Amino acid sequence: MEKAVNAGDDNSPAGGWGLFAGARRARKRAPSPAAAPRRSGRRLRRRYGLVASAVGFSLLILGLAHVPAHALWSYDGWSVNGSYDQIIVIPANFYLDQYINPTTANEKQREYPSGFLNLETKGDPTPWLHLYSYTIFGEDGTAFATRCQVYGYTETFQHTMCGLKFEESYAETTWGGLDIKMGLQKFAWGVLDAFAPNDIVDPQELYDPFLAGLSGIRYSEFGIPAIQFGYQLLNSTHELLPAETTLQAAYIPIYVPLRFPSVGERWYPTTAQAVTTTSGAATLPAGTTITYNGQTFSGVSGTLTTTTLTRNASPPGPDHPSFAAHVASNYSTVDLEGYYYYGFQTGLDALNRLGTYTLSPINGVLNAVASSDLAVFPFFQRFQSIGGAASAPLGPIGVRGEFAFQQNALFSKDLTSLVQETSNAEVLNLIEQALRIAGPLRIPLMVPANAVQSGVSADYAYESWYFEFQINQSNIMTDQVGLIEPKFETRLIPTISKSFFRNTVHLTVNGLYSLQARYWFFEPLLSYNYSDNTVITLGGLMLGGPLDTVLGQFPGNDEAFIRIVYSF
Amino acid sequence: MSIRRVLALAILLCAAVAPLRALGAETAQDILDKLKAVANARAPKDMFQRGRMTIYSPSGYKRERELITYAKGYPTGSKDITFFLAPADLRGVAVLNWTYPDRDDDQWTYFPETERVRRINANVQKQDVGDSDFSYEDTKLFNDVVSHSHKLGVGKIIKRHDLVNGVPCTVIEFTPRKKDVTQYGRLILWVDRQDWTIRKIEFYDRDTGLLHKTLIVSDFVTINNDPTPQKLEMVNAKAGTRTVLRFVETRYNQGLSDELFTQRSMRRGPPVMGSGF
Repeated sequence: MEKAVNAGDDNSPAGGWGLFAGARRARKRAPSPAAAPRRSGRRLRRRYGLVASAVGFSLLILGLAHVPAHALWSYDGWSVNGSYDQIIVIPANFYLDQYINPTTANEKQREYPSGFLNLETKGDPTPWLHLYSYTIFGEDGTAFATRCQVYGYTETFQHTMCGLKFEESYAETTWGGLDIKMGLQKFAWGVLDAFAPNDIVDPQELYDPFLAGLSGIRYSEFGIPAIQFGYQLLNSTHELLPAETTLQAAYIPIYVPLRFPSVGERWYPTTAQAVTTTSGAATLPAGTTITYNGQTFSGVSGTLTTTTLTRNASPPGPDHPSFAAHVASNYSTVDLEGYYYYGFQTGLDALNRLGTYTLSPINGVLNAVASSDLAVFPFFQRFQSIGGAASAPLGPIGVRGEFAFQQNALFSKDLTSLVQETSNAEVLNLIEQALRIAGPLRIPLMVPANAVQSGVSADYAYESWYFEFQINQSNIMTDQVGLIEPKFETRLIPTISKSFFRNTVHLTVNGLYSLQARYWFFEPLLSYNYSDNTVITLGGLMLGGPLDTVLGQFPGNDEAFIRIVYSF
Repeated sequence: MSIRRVLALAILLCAAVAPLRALGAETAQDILDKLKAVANARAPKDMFQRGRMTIYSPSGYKRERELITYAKGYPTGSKDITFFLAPADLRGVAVLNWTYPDRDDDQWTYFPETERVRRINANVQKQDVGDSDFSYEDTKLFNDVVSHSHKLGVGKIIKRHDLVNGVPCTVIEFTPRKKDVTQYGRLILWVDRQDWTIRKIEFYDRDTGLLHKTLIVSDFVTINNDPTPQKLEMVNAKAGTRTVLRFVETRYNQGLSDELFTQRSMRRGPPVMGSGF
């Protein structure tokens, strides 16, 4: 029995989100032809508009570049600042007509210009009260959903063409050593630059894992509603006591799920893509038969066309709150931190539900031609993590390390083997559904396991050079079959950067290589500070590795991009 | 934004004010000891400064930074914290520095993009400040020559009378002892023996012996009986560039709280001026 993938997909099997089942932010892509209806004139005009606006904004930014960069508005302890971020991506296998003709084939590689307007407002109405908000209005030209919306805090699948996002919005009051922070806020946990094991409280947007580069994973995090209590102990006199110790405890009334890409978007795992056709035949177990129209059959065959859909599900509410605690102290030249989180993680499951079908006996075998909907939906797994971190200078080298023990962490199944193993079962199940002797087949996409995550990094600066080398390890302690990640995995993450022309030009190269899974990532970035408030970045992204690995499953996602950020 | 770019700027304001005093004897070490004694006697309990830095390229193109610094003295050293107000790509960046007399400084930076505080190692602290002509080492030397001259190196009077902006000064050649302490083989100091301040420093490269940078300290005003410079200008002879730092506001002895010099304070940003900061 074999599995075939329809046109519109890239014929590559896939894994799952794996490494990113706890990571990053957004860009956007076009749907596959099979998944999306032909575009309306309105949508076509909108996309022409995106290209035009990208060019227009880029010119505007360069024109404004030498305007002195002051706050947009500032008065008596209040200020409004912001930036406009324009991104134009040219994916691998780029064809110019993809930008011009929206019905062209191979549009999975399509990438439209995107723009983000970021506004930051803060104020101190009194010396003890601090107000802060950070809001993004993003134009996501390649999202499948062409509408605009205000992003919510309960939906896992909600990527749209444009939207308003309230990233943070809180009030903070301070009374001596005590402070209370209430509202939408982020929890900046962990000391490593990439894949910090303790950076687990904030949810992230996974529309595009590498929008801000490998170390930019944290830019994708968004705030969650919480009340945080902090207390600070200071010591300026006793040499044997830490100079500064902070204790923080947070109550998180509702769980906010991750935001996953839509079906068909470039970073959606390949085998879970829209529209697959499964052909197969199965002999029923000995002694088992199926009866249809008075005939008894011991074997079945079928051709099933499956369309993937996504469904949202309500995350845990106030009756299932989360808690977070953090302690930080410094002793001599060492900074020490401890973390504890008792909350949830977002996982995905799928149900394969029969749609239209015909059944007919052929040569003693019951044959089905059917369609089904594979509904992918989130579930929310109770999860807890305890960890620690330390950072210190070691001669001329800065050293940082952290670890976390995680109970019931969610890991992606290797969807490649999952599909191969279950295609017989899929055919049989859908026939059984047709005969009303079985319900929809549940396909687990993620499963819980206990794990230890750790990492160490060292950085060194020499003149205008900067070197950083990080090693991350993941040890899955619970036996689970068919995970996309190896049970024990070591990832090497080097970064080299060099500045030129009095720090106006920066060249950075990020990389990642998994010793066990052999997937890799390479990202060169060249940025130019055109002025104090304008930065232009040219970048490239290359991914590779076996197709059933975390990064290897996206072989067509190499790209080049230009990004212009104007701050005001 | 690079860490190096931020580092030296952060400590710069503090370095510019506190130890700019001194003098009154015949040997160079006597003059430096007097400079230290006067600086200690004048040293405020705490300090607030707001400054604007202008960086000029050889072509005349200029870039500006705005920042404010708070500093406070402690029995075991001193603490200072700097917040960048402009330009946009530096806005919100904060640098916290704890200085000790007997070991390397502790230093942390806060980057609003990632909302994280990061400890900086000593090697990064010694890097040049890419955008400007000041380096962390320059500013630290500026302090150490006054505070720890007898530990740092030896001085020699090379000219008893010279003028800097019309102010009579004694010129001292100062040679740091240890190569690993500084990249400079020698410094030439112009010490004003009227108000016991340093008016000018030339920094000479250790390897080539050539003039690398020149610092000119000027526009003194008296605040709380303390002659306080309002302008620092660093000219980089090697690169043909210069950086001017002007202080637009200085306040001493404001009763700054200990909570200001913490990582929590870095995240929150500069306090509201007035009571309680």
